[in-house]
Amino acid sequence: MSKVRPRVARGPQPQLLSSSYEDKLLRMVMTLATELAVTRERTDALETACRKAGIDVDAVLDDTSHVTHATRAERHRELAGRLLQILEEPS
Amino acid sequence: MAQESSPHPLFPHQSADERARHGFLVEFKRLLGSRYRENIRRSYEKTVLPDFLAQVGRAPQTRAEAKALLHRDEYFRLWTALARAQHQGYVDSTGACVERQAETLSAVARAVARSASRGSLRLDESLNIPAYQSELDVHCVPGGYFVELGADDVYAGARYELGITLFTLGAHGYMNDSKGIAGVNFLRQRFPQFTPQRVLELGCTAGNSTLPYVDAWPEAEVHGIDLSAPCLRYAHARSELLGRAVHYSQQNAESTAFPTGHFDLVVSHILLHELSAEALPRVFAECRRLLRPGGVMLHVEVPVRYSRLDAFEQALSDWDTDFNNEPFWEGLHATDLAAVAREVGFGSAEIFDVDLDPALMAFINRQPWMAFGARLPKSNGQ
Repeated sequence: MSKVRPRVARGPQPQLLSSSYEDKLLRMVMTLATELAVTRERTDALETACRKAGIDVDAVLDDTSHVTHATRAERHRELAGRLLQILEEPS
Repeated sequence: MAQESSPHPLFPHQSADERARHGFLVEFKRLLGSRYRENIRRSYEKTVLPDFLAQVGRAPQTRAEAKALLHRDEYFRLWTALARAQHQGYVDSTGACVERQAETLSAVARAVARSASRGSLRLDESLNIPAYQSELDVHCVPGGYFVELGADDVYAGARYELGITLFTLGAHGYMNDSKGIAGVNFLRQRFPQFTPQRVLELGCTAGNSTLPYVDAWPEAEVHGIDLSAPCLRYAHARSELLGRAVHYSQQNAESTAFPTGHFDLVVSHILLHELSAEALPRVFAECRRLLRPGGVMLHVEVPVRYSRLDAFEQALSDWDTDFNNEPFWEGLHATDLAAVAREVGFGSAEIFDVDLDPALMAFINRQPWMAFGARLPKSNGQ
């Protein structure tokens, strides 16, 4: 597709909490909670599959050699970016 | 590997992460809209009502009085902020979900349009979208019904169908067609001999409510019109893939190109609350023009009936006007629809305004859908 979808709806943006920044903070918490729910489902699916395959899940979790520091940092940056995206919207 | 079922081949595919995201947002909304919504009245009565009683000497008597108080209540404001955050979260996630597959969905729709043999699709690039629709993103959905990401785009229609499924927590049925089914059931019960040969749905969006009329009267010629080209492309492909013949065209319900007296039945579903006060009588007048003698106009709507609500509930029922870009919601529910219908020529005896089957509830306030409309007299005066 030649265009990207718009991200902000046109219309009133009511301030509901003490400041517009508190409203944004609440949305960040909501985003975080949603992504936590996604992660929990992924974890549950993978752990279930591992146990069915006879894998010791706790031992795997203790072993950090499978991923580099840079990969971990990139994942954290991606999540931080999703949270902070809200600050790019007008107050 | 087990996959969740899909209502039809064009329904947007949700990845595992998207299903998890949407599942969480649905359950969050379910909880916020039940247990925590009930707390709003308690907070109102405890925190803002006592000052009003002390100052004025009585409880709020009007919706405006109650709303002014309600909007100051801190619990209500936090609840509203959470509801908006949930809404924005699901709108963004469904948008991203559909955007990543927009090219594929559009290609499917394009292929269907080229090979379609049952119904038809007619778009009008020159159609003027009324300002009351084009200048605001209804339901706080960025781009609303009209955003087009590329050629032959169906993004807005696909996002609408995925979105409405989640917005209503699935309460409008697997095919999102409970409004249409409610309308058909009503017509069969109220007018048992009525067998329309031509049916028109105004504001058909993705065609969810259109198909029950095809199923109810398979011999009828069924039409659907809407302002949105991407929604109509989606509706047409969806109908074809589901094996139903519907003739979709891009038209304004205020003034269509159909001949006078062309239809036996003109219906709409949750359209009226998206019309401006100026457009509403024009749509009613167009319905009347389009109907043959003995024809029926039927509008299935969300049943906000202020006369049954106290001032507090009236104020709370306007939440969508105040916080969800539904600018005409409150105005519609304060309008005397029968008076508008009479003004455009329907007779008092022809008009009906009833609650529908309580088995098919409107999600938004858990009330039976309302049916407003009228049946023209038959030509012999019956």
